[in-house]
Amino acid sequence: MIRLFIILIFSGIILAGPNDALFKASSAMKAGMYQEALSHIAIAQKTDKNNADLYRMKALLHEALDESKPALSAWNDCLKYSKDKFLSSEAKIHIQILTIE
Amino acid sequence: MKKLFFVPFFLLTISCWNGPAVNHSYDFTTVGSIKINHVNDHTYMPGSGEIVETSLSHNFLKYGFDVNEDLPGASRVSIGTGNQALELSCIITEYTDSELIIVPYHFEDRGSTSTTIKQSAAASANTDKAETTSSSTTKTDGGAVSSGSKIDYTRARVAIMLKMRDIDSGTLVWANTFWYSSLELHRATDACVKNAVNQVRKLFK
Repeated sequence: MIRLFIILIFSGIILAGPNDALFKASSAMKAGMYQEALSHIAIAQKTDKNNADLYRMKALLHEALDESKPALSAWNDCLKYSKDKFLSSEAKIHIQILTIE
Repeated sequence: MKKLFFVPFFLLTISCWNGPAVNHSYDFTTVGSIKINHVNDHTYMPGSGEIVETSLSHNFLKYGFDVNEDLPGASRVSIGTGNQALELSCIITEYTDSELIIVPYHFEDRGSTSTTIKQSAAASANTDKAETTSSSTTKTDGGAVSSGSKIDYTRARVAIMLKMRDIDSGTLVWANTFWYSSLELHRATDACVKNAVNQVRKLFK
């Protein structure tokens, strides 16, 4: 039984890839650990650099941490890579508000 | 022929227009004050009306206007020295604290190639020459490509509809809608109202 448990743990560690970072980011976000979520998103973005949804996630986290400049930068990237009308409009609203600040 | 070009252009302009509706014939320089009407709660969120109403007063104050609350639930914002008074009404069209956002992502394991070079040198005692041997091993890992996975998180979203009318004549002078999203509901509310008040402020500049 203990062997099986050890095998399961090790296989989990071995099979955990970079995409695992997003799951960790999502969990950290839900737990309110925004700084940690940001570090996981940074890892996930290494393999998915043009994902507008990831930039939105990052921007919302920076805003929640009162970090206006990185939030603005992330929204600009979100707008740059977004192909969705609604997401682009959301990015524009956030850019407008953050620019007022 | 000209009509053929004009009609689609006009329809396209109307459909893309989502800016504020302003009565351009109204003279905003004659306005002395704005009365903020009581804001009703959103159907699914008791207390939301009071939060938005307080945020409106707070943001007007933040932008440097004098706010008078002599009567409970009726704030009056001093704008200028004019005689006209406007009435600001706000409707909360959305007040959600947990809108589910799905993040689709693409993950690509590009694989790796590693080359190990082994080099050894042996000097012979009988001769002055040294012999060098080298060998290299290359390992290639093809990687894997997977896409279509997704994660989710929740965020808050607040949307309001504002309109201002002249109290004396009843003329609607300005109307607009605003919305904002954030991970926290209070932040979404404040930013949404802040944007609205900033737009109102521009009318009196």
